[in-house]
Amino acid sequence: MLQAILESAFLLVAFGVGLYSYKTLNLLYKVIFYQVVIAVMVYVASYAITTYQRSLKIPENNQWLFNVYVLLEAVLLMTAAWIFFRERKLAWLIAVGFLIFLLAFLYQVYDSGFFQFVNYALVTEGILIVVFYLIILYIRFTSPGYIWYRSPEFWLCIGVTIYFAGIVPFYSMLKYLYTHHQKLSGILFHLINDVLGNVRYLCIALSFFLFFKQASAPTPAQHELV
Amino acid sequence: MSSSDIILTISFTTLLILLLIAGVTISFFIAGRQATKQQMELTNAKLSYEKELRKVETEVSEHLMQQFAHELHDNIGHALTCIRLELENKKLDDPTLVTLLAPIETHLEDASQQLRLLSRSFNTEYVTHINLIEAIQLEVERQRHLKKFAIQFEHDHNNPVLDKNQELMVFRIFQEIIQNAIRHSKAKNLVVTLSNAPTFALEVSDDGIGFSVDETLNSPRASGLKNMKKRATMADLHCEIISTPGSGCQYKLKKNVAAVV
Repeated sequence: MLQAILESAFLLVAFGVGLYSYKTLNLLYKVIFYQVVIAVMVYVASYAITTYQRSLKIPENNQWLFNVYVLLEAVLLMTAAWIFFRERKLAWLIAVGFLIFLLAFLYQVYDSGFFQFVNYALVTEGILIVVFYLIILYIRFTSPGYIWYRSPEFWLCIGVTIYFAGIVPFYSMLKYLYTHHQKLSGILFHLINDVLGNVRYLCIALSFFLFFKQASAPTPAQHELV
Repeated sequence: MSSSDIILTISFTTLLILLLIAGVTISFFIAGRQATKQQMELTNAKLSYEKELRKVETEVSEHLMQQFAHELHDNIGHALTCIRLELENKKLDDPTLVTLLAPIETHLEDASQQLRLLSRSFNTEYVTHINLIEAIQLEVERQRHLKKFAIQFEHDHNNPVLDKNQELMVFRIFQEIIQNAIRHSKAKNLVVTLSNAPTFALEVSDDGIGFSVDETLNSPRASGLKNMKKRATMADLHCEIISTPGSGCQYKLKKNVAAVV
């Protein structure tokens, strides 16, 4: 139980802050919030499924659930990036990226079956998400008068980028580790995925908070003089 | 591969990738700052250029006014003086012409007076030699002679707080205001208030037909108003125009708030 709490601490913080500030969020941040909600639901569901399977003494396998989650996560994160890009006529990048991810996903499902985790699709998703969110970061940094530490987008992009960039080496070797070093695979999973996941959701919680704060701040009075 | 090799490989690769992301983010930050710096330099260059352009425009305009003032004084003033001398000679030759020529002499004297005042108001050297109160008084006197409207001038007798260049700008703006009042306002009364303490403020109000400030400023015929704005900016002053159709017009010229603070 303690392990579950430690793994999901900042996910719950992000969920709480997002729920509190939901009314002030714009479309992009609402999509990110939906991704957080789905992450919470998947986490709870996976825990319930493995507990149930353990109680029935049948092999534990919730990888199919995470395959669904990978697909939904990719759709939502790319949709958030698309919302940002469509104002700058870069939406075609998202379409191309999603197509590449979908091809990787479908190929791995076809090759390994739906009940094997699609780690290569996740790696593809990770690389694409890092590219998209770094582009968002670049566009923001080169905007005039940009104060990075007060910007919700900075923290969102940094959190997402750190997570997806950090998990690429581990998930690339997941199949090998699971086959030859199962125990080590479990340790590394908690070390890399959970730690980076907490960093990601902490940054997302901060971005929700900053957005809420900026949306709630009163606008200064304006004086019109020749 | 042994467990330690795997841990080392994965840890090292993860760390390397995270460092790369950090490096990329830092380079974006530096690129952003450079872009902001370049933008600021470009804006400053544009502002300097516009400031220089306005300065040159004002210098050319003052130079032309100076030339015009000299022409008025030297040519037309001289011609009027010659006419007066001729009339004096005629009166000496034939004393009976004194009564006949008296009204002509009156009009001639009036014309000479008007020419003298006009010449002084255009003469930059004269305007900068006297202080702002005297310059405005001069212009007010000239307008009273023209009898276009009743004009009242009130001031607080305090020493001027503006430098000579600013005073010249204020005077030219005041002349522009008067010209607008003559040409467009159909006003019967004009009130001019000048104060130098606690801070500089010049207010000119008329009871004319008024106009829509925003509409006029956006139209091509607002060159006078735009000139006023440019001169005010050059003198580091704030120019406010308050008017609506049917409600007269009020001009307020004050020192910039930042300068006051």
